[in-house]
Amino acid sequence: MILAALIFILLFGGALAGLLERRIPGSARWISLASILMVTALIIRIWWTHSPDIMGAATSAMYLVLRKTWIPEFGIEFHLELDGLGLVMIMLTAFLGLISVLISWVQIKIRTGFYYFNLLWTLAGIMGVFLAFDLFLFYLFWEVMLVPMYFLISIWGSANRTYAAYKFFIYTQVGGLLMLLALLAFYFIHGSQSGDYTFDYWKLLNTSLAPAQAKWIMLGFLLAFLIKLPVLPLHNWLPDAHGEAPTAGSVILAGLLLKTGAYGLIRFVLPFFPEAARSMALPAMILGVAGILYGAKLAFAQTDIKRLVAYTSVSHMGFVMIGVFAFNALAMQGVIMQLIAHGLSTGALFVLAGIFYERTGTRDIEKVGGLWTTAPKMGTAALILVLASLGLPGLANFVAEFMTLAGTFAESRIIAVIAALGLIAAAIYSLRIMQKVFFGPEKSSDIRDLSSVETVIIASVVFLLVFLGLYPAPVTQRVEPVVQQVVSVALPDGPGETDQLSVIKIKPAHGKP
Amino acid sequence: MESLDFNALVPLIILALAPVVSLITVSIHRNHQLIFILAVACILIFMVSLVYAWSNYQMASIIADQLVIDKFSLFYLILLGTASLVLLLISYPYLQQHTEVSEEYYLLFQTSVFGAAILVCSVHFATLFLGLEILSISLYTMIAYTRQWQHSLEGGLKYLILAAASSAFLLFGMALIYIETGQLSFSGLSGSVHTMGVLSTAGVAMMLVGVGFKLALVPFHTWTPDIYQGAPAPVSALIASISKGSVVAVLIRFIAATQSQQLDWFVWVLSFMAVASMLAGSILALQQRNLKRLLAYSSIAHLGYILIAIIAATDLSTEAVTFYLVAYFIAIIGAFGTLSVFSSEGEIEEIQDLQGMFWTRPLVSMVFSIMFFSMVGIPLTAGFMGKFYVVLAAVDTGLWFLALMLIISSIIGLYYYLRVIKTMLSPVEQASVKTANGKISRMGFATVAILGILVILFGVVPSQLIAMIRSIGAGF
Repeated sequence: MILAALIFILLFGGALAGLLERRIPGSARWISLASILMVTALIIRIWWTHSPDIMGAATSAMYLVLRKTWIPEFGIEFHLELDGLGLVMIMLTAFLGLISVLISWVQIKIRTGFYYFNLLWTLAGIMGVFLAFDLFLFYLFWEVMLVPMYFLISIWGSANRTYAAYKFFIYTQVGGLLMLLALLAFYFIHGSQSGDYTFDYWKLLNTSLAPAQAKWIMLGFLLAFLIKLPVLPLHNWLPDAHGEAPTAGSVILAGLLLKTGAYGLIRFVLPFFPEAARSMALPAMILGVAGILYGAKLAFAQTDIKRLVAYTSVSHMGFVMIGVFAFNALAMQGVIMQLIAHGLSTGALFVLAGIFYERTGTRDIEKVGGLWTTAPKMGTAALILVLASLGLPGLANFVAEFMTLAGTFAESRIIAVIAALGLIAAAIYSLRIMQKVFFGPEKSSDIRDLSSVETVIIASVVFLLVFLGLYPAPVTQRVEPVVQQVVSVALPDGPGETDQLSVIKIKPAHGKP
Repeated sequence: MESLDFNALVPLIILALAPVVSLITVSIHRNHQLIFILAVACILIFMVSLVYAWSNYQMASIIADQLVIDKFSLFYLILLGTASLVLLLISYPYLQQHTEVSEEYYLLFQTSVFGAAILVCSVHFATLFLGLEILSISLYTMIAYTRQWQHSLEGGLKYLILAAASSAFLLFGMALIYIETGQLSFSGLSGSVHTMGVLSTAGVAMMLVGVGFKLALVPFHTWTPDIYQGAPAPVSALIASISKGSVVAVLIRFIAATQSQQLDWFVWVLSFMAVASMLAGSILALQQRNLKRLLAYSSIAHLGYILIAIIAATDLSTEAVTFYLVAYFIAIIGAFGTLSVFSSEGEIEEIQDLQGMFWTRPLVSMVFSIMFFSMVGIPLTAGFMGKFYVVLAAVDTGLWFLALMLIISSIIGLYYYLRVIKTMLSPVEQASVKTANGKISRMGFATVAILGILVILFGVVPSQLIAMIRSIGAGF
């Protein structure tokens, strides 16, 4: 029941916030904060009680399962499960959700009730995506997170919000509907094979598909996830949506929504269609590499700080793409690490960008300069986050990208080498932010430095980035069983790459595959 | 006639008596409120008899080879009854606001519902034609009921001419089939699919033209926007829901009885009409500034979706069509209903009129958005389950192309539905005076609010409805 509570607390909290705000102005944010804190507390409790140290060998098992019949006519269940990967992802969701509520505290001045309603419902949808183990339910949550996000962008966004919101909605809806089509085909194939028409994840996993079927069905899923990720030719919605969304919207988009795409690849595409996915590996990795370089190039060309950060996301998600399609445990670990690290660092960068816009009244980095003297705390924060983003050793992003590249290197040297160039590009565009905004001649008048709440938000992110950068085991241990399972399905002849894990001492001693 | 048959006919008889009661009442004492209450009472009695018949259902009764009362009919009658109850509740405040003489409206309303009910039970060309004509003739007058508006009169006349023409096609088609087969009942035609000659083929084709007109399928759709725009909003809702729904019901019966889905050309023509309706409906809706025209085009697209499920012709088809119809009925009646609850000078027609409505009229806007989300097919609404059902039926039969077209059309549809919602969200400073001022009929709003709740209910816990629909059978 805890799993359902995670989602329903957010749903009810959102509804309550929306309704009460008219009666008691100012109540919405407190209700939202309370619901997010409750969810966070629950997740921490789960984290505590299901710690791998206590569970020992049973790590590979699901932590929690919830099954309730819902629409038995179609074999649809309200089926939630939580494993290591899910736990890490919902932890991220709760953390970034908390940040979003706090950062909206003073920034959102109009229609606050409806705002927090949308914020919490988006988070609930994302939470559901990470927990659903019934594919219909997954699709449902996948769509549920869109509508409130559309409202967030189109009501509280900046000047060009209408266009951005449309684009976001239509892109993701295209992907979603194609996924629905593929999902139904999958459902019928499984049903006709086994006589059991069901959307259950584990049952569908046993479907044997003809290569042609697998290819087309996989393409349906893949498109939905690649649009969300986004991968190079499908990334067009991202800069607009990220750029125009309110700060909390950008944080959720970059920190969580993109991650649902990557999560989908790991959870569904690879285990369901291993052969088809392997046959797509090379084109997929090429797209990933192209995304890394292209995103970096465009990030360098931006003058709008939010669009700049948005393009860095395109670049970083390229690493996810190559890591996923490298089909080995190390790269996969790197990808998951990347999801966390990028979620934290880019989320925080968007928080900073929002603060920057609020204080200076512009998002154009050409119009400001020399802010360090007036806002040293902001400068320091930006410096650390930018260094994280460019992959400085000692911070989580470095661990992620290093693992991804090392894993990829074993599969395809050329890809890994070209992808590594992305790190150089990252250094260029990242340092450009610092140089334009914080150094150089002082162009703008005094601005207010970070407030105490903002400092706490950024500091907590920085703490996590440093902590995971030095000691990534909490994440890697958690996801180890999932990674092993996914990789072993994808490579039936035995994962040879696992040795490398022990080489760089990330694999926990007791986490035997 | 045996007493058993008589029992089965009771709901229809109640419905037939309703206009008589109204007629007598109007001639004795003219009072809007009185006749409204009487009309509602008649529908309620009708519903009670239906629920009784449904719960004590034993077997189908076929009356003189003309009408059949089985679970399928009963379900559709319940759907019609509920829809007409809702429409009555919406019409009352609308008529109070916009017409001087309102009493005859109820008379026409009752006859049109009676016509639709006959259609739903029909298994014979005679009752099919009879039902259709009763329905259409009532509609001519209802469309032109707000005679102070030129659009309304124009719409009535247009519908008169086009519906008459389509009836002629239908009638001629029936005659051609009769020449060759000597049969007028659906069951009599059941064996003759593979032995069809030129005449029956032409007959079926002509009947399709007639049906195409009634369902407003492309290329027989051109009348729709003008008439939806011209007719009073509750009447547009009636045309979009009851009129189309009953024709869909009889179409399913006809196809199921005659097995005409085995004819290749028949399926091709239906598929063409489905694709053309979906795409044309969605694309033409993009340009509309008038809400009623927009809803007209969107209803064309929706009928295209329904047609896909009919083409699939599997066990799932009837279920999918029926579920979709339920969802579509609620959403379209809800949308037109929302437009008619405002007591403004003239109707709320233009999309512009909705500007900033989300802030000036939050509750109404919320209900209206729910209807639109249902039409888009956003999860947790009935419309999503409906679309899911249709795609399920299509994929089950391997109609990939049609399923893909459905998706493309939905995506185009998304754009214009969102445009309306976007307009409602525009800043409060630009709020339209038309929606912001004036009163909203409490009864009308309560009705559409209940529809809104139903949309969510059928979207979140559809199980009961699915089980009910599954029991009606009448598979292909």
